Amino acid sequence: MRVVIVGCGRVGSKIAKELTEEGHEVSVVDRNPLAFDKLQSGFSGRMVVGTGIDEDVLINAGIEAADTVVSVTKGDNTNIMVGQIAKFIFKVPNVVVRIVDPKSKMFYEKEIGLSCYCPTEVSCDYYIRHLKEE
Amino acid sequence: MYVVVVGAGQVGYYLTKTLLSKGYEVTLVDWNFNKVQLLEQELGGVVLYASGSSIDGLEKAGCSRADVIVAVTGDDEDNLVICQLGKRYFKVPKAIARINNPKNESVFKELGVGTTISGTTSIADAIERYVAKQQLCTLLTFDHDEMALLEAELDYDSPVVDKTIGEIPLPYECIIALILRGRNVVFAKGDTVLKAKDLVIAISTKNEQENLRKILLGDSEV
Repeated sequence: MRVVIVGCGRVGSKIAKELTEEGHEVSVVDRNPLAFDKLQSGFSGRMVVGTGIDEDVLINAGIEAADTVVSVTKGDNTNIMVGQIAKFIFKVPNVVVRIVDPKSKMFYEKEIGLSCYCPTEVSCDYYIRHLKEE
Repeated sequence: MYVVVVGAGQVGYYLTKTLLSKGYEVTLVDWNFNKVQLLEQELGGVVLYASGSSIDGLEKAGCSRADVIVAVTGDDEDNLVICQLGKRYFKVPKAIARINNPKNESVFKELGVGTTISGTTSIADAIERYVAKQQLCTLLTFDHDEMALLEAELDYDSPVVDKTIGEIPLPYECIIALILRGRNVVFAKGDTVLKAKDLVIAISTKNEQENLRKILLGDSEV
């Protein structure tokens, strides 16, 4: 897999490390160069400093040859825009983005056709299930 | 006419005041509490504290009955989402986005937000128009930017000075329409002779613009 990960926070850096260890070709994009500190020094993937909503930055990260794009910055709207650029402009086959707001997630999944992961929904389900078991 | 303006920076603030003075009904939305409090003192109930890029916030702003939604925050990703939610979720007839990075103009267009305003592009165009020589100035674009109405001022060393329009090897997708010569307007015909200091008005496809520039203004790179 050739993967571009936008956002090198806790989630982005962990995905990057695990996929690299599995032998996938990974590049990570983040606006803040210090964010790459979360990757171990042995990280063999590519690190690109810049905003993910800039086409040139994404091209630099190899989006044209990528088959997967994951956008997990802390901004919903950034992820939404990155996801749409990847899916509709660069025609990347496999795109998934994080949207924290469940209503937005619903809209972008149903109306725009983005694949979204909503941590709010997932953790709410978990808490409620857990509380009911007690 | 009801207009929802999202983003209470300088642009949003002055836009709201301008629209109010023209008699429009306006709501100005921002999620910076201090900013909203400050603006409320001047503009009163027109200002709404809400997230303009969320469905809940836009609902509060009365987007379902808005005629226009304008996204003028300083972040392009927010402006994109505001306009997409406005158009697709709330069915607002017209959505207008401010674009900060000019490169995003085409991105917005491809993602369904065709009406954009870029301050950066406007200023760059103005510089081209008023300052730069040896340039084709774009007066107007149409057909989704595929066609442009262009203007060029012929200098004394232009290769087409003293030639008739019929003699100029113009590309097929290109036509010289008018010549502004001092106070006179000359309609371009095959036998019209071009003079130095003429302002040539031409229509061209995007593809042929560079060729047209070389033909009219010479080969030097800009």
